[in-house]
Amino acid sequence: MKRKKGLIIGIVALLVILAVGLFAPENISSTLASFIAQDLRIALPLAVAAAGLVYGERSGVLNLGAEGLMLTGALFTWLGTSLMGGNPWLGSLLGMFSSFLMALLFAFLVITLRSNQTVIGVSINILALGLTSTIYRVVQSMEAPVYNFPSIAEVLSKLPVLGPVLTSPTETGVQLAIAGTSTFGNYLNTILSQNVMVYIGIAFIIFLQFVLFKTDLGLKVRAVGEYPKACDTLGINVFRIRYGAVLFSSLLAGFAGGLLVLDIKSFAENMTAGKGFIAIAAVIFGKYTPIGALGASLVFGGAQALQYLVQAIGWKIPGDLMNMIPYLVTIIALAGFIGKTHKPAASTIPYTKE
Amino acid sequence: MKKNISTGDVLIKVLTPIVAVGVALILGMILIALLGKDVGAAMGDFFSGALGSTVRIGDTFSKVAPLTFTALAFAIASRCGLVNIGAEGQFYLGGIAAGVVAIYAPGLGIPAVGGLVVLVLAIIAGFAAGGLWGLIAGWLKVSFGANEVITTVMLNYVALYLNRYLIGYDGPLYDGSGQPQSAAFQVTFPKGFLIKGSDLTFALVLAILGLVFYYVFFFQMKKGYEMRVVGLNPTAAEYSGIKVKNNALLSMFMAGGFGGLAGTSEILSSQSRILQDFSSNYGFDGIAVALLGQLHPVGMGLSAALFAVLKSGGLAMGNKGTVSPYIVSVIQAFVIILVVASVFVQNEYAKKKLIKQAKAKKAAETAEKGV
Repeated sequence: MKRKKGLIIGIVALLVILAVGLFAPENISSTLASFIAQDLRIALPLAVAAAGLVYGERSGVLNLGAEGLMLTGALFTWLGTSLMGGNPWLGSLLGMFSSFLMALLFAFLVITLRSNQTVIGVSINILALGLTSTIYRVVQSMEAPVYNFPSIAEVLSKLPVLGPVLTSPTETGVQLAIAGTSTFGNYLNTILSQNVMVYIGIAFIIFLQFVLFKTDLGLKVRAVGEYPKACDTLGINVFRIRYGAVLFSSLLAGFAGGLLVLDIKSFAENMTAGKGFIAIAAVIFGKYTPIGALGASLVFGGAQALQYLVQAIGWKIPGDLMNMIPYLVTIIALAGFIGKTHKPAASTIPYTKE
Repeated sequence: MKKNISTGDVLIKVLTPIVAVGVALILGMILIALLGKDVGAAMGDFFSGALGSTVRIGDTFSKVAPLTFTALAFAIASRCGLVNIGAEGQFYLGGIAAGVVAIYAPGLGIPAVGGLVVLVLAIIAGFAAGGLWGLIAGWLKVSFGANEVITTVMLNYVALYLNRYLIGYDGPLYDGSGQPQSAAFQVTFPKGFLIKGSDLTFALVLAILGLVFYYVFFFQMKKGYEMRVVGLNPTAAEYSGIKVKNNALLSMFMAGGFGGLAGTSEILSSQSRILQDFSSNYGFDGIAVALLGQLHPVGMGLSAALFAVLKSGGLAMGNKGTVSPYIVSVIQAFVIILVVASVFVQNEYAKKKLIKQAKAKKAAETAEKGV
């Protein structure tokens, strides 16, 4: 029942977005369209990281080092992309691998050595901040052009037969065919003209939801987070599931950090600026499900996209105050969901085999 | 579980932090070497920067006060079972409040007395502002169950931007100079305390008093004992009539207050106005100081001194351009990881000892039966 509520909210939101595009005057619809486009762009890294963290959390490991994993992923995605002639795919692989190594340290400490997850998570963040900033100052000079993933129009245009139907060429490249057809066409074009990774990301998050709730593996992950002792008795290797969940989520966290880099095409010290923690908040706010985390990320992304909306409307609010909003919204979201969360019973409790 | 405290246990407790620091320093040096830098030159810059002259030593030890206070901010919450990652934000709030008092209070006709009254007011304001900032996270935790780690981190960013706003071009504290900064303080902590010409101020004494307070409160007073019980076992505390929520709120207020004092002591010791991003990571340093000091007042005092050296040496390396000062964060993280992970080693050691004792007992019994 509860999961249906989220679905209903989602459908209503989509209908409202469609209705505004169809019936609202052009200045309003174009403002809304760019707001939604910004929201999707900002939410993607949060959602990707959060959907992975759902797996770790469900298996009973709260990875407060997510911020550090994202930051590590960001630096090495930047480095990899720079070194590989700007190729974001290869760069992201290096970013994911670096985050994986950091997570291996985290997992060893909290799963094998049963150290305090909170403190180790925090120290992973400090380690990542120190390492990335120190390394960046040394490799800064290797800077080379960095390219983002292709846009959806670029990808679609390469399809046989459908390509020319769905896209149309412009002076500088390609655009979706709906652009320029009508006000509504422009509206949809603004929303849909995203980086291809937005589409892959959303599809993958839906796939993660399916795996977590409809497959044997997902059941094992959830069971280990609820009652590890019973799982052990049934012959499920608690350690292996937890290692697997943490390491898998680290790949996504590293990739998410890389998305931040590819989005602005450069690296900056401490560029994650709390996004790892916001992703953890998205896990909680999204009731520990991948799709819920996606929805929560869209809320947090919207809070950050507000500044574009405020600019478009023409209000003069100091930028520093606008910058606070995503953090404040995260706090409010965390506080507003007491008792309704589905925190796994064995969360943060190390498992000791007897 | 029965605990037999032996000299071996005490030795492990004392040796752990020393070994942790040693290993962390070696790892830091390995990293410097891996980055293709001259380790010897870096170490030279490090030591001459941190301890090269009496004045430098004084400057280095001026960092002990803010480090001790942020360590207390972590430790007080930790004793009550809470994880306060918010010292950075509390540092800002305390610094801003104390700064505002130091800018405007002297103009209000408060009797000067060498600025002493104003300084006392600034300290109170700094404690209160930091305390209230900490209390927000405590309140969100006890009333709504919001994870305090996340809320304190979020509040850190809110505090950072709040400070930028206040002294920014649109902010109420902006001095109109074209730089984002406040007006100059009318009163500050006098420099040259103990060591002439250095940045050291009597904030060091306040920090030591803070550690004394911490000891007295947690180990001599009933309220502190209650708080520790809550930290060790909230369920047991609840059953024995201790108000868990009130203790959590009080500990977050006190923790935040000490975070605020960190900001107060830093801003009134080494700065002349409120500047942008004035906390160079003190909030996070405090976590390492507290954990390395094993939440013990003497331990925290010593590790604050050690981290003051690390921080000031790291900055010196950064200024000379050899290595990024962030290398200190790497060393810090290794220190925390090693100290926390050593608990496992200690537990294994204790377990082995127990097994050994049990085996010896069994052997003795079988031997008796044999006879």
